[in-house]
Amino acid sequence: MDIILHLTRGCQLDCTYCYGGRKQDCAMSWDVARRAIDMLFAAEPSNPPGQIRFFGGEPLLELPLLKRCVDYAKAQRERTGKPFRLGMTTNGLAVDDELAAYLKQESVEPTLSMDGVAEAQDACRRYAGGRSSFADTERALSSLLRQFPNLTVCAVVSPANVEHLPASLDYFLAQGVRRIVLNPDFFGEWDDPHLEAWRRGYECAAQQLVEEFRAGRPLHINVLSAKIITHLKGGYEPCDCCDFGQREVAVAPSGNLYPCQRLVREDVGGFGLIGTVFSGRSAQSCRDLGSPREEPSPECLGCSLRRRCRNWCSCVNHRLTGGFRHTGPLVCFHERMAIELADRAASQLFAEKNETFLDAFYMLRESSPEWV
Amino acid sequence: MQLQPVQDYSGANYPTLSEYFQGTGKPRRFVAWKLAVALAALATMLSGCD
Repeated sequence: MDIILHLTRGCQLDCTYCYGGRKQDCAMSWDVARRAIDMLFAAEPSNPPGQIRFFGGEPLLELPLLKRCVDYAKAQRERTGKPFRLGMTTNGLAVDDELAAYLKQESVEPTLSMDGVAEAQDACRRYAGGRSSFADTERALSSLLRQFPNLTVCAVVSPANVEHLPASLDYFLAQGVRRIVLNPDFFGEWDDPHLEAWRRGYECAAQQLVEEFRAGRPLHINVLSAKIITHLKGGYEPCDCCDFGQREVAVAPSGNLYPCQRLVREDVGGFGLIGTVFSGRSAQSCRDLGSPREEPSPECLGCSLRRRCRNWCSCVNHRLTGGFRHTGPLVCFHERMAIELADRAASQLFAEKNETFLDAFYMLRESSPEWV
Repeated sequence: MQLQPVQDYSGANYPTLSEYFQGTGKPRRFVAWKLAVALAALATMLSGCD
């Protein structure tokens, strides 16, 4: 089980695409945090081990609570012998060298949310009040990369910043980032020029992937690497997909439980609420949310890319179409594009017998590659 | 914009893991292990909800 702790709903930024609702200085209590961590240690052991992921709002606004959670989880590990992983998604604004060193020391794996070059960052990720957050985020990127050379950077791709995607990818590579998560804003207003820019951006990403592997430097851009892997292993298996409240639980500051961090929003309960840390998960509520993998969209049944398509994301589907099992045309557009470009890059590298590619994706060494 | 199911797709001109390792004469258990490793890798690349 993975536990996503929304330590606060407060944040310094006012991102245009944020799904967190109104920002509030609404911190999680220690009692809620402790009970949530206890849920993880009470769950069946899993492989890989369960993760405690600090989220928000901006989790570093509640640094003392975060540190207390880390100490408590370590104590629970000593007591139970159960391993766990720690992660955090941060906007980086409170990160300095000292904090990055703390994260390293405590094995808290950070993901930095940053959209790219200043133009991309400022298009959507400004401080509340409108000031640019680029310089402060860039400082965090440097501090984190010094401690975490395999740092994951998560960039939202939205209509407002998509034209800067090629420049942003260049920027991340120049900074030394080797793991890039592109997170599409499927709820933005995408018109034809934006879609064309999106394709240009992904074509650029695929070309960069090829060039980096040719230079002997593995690069992972999630929308491409994941699609290559779905071909290698014959598609997504049920265990690869989000199971909406079974394996992953998001904990709101109030202690309410949701099946996905996207559904916490302003934590008004209602849709998506599956229990509380005080009462536990409601099996009936989880069942009521259903499984999108049981009955895919009828339109998708005849699609030869269906098993490689991320049409199973329940909360994206629900927001786009009102149904958990029915995905929207924008997801369809995105998945077709990502699969085509990922396959083009992979086919090229395989034909060239690129050793770095073969090593990373066919895992020719006896030990797993570092990114597994 | 509408859903556009793809009828015939032939863009992946590289072998699956099963095809690749069967071609090398590796035993099935080895292939199964590689697939399991790939699955774990996939899990790490699925992040994108942040």
